[in-house]
Amino acid sequence: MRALYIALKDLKMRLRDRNTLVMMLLLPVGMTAIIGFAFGGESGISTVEFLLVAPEEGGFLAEAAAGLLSHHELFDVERATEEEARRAVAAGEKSAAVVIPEGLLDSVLTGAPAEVRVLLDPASNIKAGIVQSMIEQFISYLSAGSAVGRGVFETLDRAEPLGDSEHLALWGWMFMWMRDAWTEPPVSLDTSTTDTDDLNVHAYFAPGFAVLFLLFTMLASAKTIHEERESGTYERLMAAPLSKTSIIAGKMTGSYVLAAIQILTLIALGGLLFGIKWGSHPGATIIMALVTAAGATSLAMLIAAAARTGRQTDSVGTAIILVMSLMGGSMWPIEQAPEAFQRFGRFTFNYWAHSGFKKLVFDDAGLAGITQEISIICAMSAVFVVVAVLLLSRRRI
Amino acid sequence: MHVRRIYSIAALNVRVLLSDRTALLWLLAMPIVFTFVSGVAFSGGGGGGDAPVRYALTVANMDEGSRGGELLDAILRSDEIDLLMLEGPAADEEAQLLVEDGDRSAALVIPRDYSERLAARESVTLTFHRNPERMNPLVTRRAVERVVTKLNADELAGRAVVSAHEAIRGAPSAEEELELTRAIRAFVSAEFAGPSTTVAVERLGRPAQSEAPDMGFQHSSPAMALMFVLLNGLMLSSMLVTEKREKTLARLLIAPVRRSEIVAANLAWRFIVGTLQLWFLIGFGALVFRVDWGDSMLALALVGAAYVAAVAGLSVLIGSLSGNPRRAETLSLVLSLAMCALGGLWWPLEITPEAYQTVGHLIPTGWAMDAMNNLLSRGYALSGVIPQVLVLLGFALGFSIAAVAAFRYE
Repeated sequence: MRALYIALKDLKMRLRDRNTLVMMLLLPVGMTAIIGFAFGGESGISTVEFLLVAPEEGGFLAEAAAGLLSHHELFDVERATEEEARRAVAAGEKSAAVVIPEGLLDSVLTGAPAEVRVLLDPASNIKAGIVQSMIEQFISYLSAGSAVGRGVFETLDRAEPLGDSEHLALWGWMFMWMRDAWTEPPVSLDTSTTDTDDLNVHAYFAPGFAVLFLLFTMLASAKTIHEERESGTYERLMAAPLSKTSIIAGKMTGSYVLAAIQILTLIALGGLLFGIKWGSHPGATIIMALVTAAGATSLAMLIAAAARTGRQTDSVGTAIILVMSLMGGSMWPIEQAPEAFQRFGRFTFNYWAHSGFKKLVFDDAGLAGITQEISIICAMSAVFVVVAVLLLSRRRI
Repeated sequence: MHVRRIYSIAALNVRVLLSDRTALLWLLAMPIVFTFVSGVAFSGGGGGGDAPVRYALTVANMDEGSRGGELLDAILRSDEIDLLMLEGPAADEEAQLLVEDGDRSAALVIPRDYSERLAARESVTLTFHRNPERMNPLVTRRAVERVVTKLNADELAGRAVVSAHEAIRGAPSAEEELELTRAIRAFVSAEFAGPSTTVAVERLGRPAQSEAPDMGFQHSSPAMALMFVLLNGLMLSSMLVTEKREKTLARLLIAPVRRSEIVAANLAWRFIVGTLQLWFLIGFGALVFRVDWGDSMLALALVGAAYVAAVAGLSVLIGSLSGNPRRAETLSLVLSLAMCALGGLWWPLEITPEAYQTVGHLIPTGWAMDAMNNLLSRGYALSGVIPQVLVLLGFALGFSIAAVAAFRYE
């Protein structure tokens, strides 16, 4: 009961503090909004602008390449001279330029060597890479068609030299046949992308930022253990009929309730502001939120218990939180990192918290689907709390 | 304005800060940790930039004939990706589930009737499941696509030569058909081995370096250096507020120091600390992470100085406006994170919408990152970063004037 008074006092103090509210709500919501602005807005990614340098002769192949890319609204193709293209790409005004050589048509028809050049802006890793990839694909198709066409002439001519009339007839036949054959090739590759339509950028990043700022709030809350001592209020508490255990329990309870309020509010705001659907199992979402709150509270308490001063709690704790968030995927999609990096991430609380929320949002998982995450976070929390209590009970707070 | 007095106040603050171990953790150690972690994450393994990354592709070969195995052999021979084979009668469903659950990035499913349909000259479709959250499938799909293009060319060549023979010379005998097919496939294989039309990629800007820097660190080093100079610089704003609250600034009222000199001293010591931090990170990046900082050290120094000056100005402004240290810290954290995200320090601005890029250029980080790109990637000399330097100096001037106007002793 006495512990509850301490918890209530701490909770009131934190909720009255505007800085705490900024950290609890404004920052996670603001960061999620910025991410949505960057990657999920209706305007989407800006267009990939590139230049096409093509000769007059054989220009229809260049037009075919441009036409192929123009079909996609992502691309914006303009014609230019090579000099203009080099200047614009070097200045970073365009991501890339494609230079079609004079003899491309001849190369396709006769097998004469030809080189298509792709000029890339070195500061553009993504857009320039997209242009390069598309052009390589186009040339690969063109080369395949050319090889088949020339192979037919070559093979038949070797078997029995082609006469003029056969040559002409073969050209006509080839044109029609190739057109139909490549429309429906023998083997096609159908890409099935999971969940593309439902991919909500806010939904991906909101849980990560919620966990990150939950940890910051908890750290500030756990730090009050040192602040009480540094400001002398701890002495007053000890003068009251309170055991050390009650004080520690009160501090932890107050922090936990604050964490639960923060994470549940962020979940509600995510739904209201960003249209995040937290799955169709509200019970599972609430349990995941409460377990995450417990994990964050216990981790912050452990950091504060291990630190000697409030300042040390702040600086070392913030460092630990930021590294864990980076490794655990709270700040960016860890799935894009190398496998070894992801394996390290699994040692962090952030990884399991984010994983649980992702399963709720993207897989519509129920409680059974997030059992692993809940178990691991509960186990982590138990270890953190035990070590924190041991450390705190051995020293003068 | 008396330079000696400004120097005294600035030197004292620099000494106090540099003797603080916690401050050193944030000034030096944390940026290195962040640069290392994000560099490894984005370099695809942390190896040298010249070592290509091999991604793994999960495969469910359900084909009841031999052609599926031949396709996989061809993919393996391309030496671009590794294959993780799934066995069993439900391997196709397992592959799809693994991708949907996020346990695998991508999976290729070869259907049961693959060989049968190819033998019957019917079209057949391979299914490539990909997880949209990951980049690896873009690489693995391209590798599979290249093999499929070659396979299609082989298949179509065999069919084309027989059909062409039928069209102009009549149906070939079985023996002729076999010979024609063998001959054209040999021709197509030779064409693919040494294609007549090739694609040459030329990355403009700096000439290739003898020791290729790791692309992950090449991006993470400047970005993290700018980020931590900003974060630490703005966090120092709370020290000015603490001085106000503890009345140490008020004591200066009795000293022969003018208000503008106090603001100048605060700007100066923040500038010195920021510059030391930036050059430590530049040096560490060059020596340990093999980051190539461009051809013009003078240009890099000017960009760095202009950026640090802007950060110092903003830091003193926040300190002048804030009523208590915690408010200054909170405001600094909010501004730092927003400016890092909007200015392209966490992801390249090029992939964001136009409006986002415009916002990114309303703050110093967007201009500083542009300048870094011009120096490190495009190999510009001093003249190539003059606009960015001028804009950053403009920010520095604006923030400093505002700081002087907002400054109070208490």
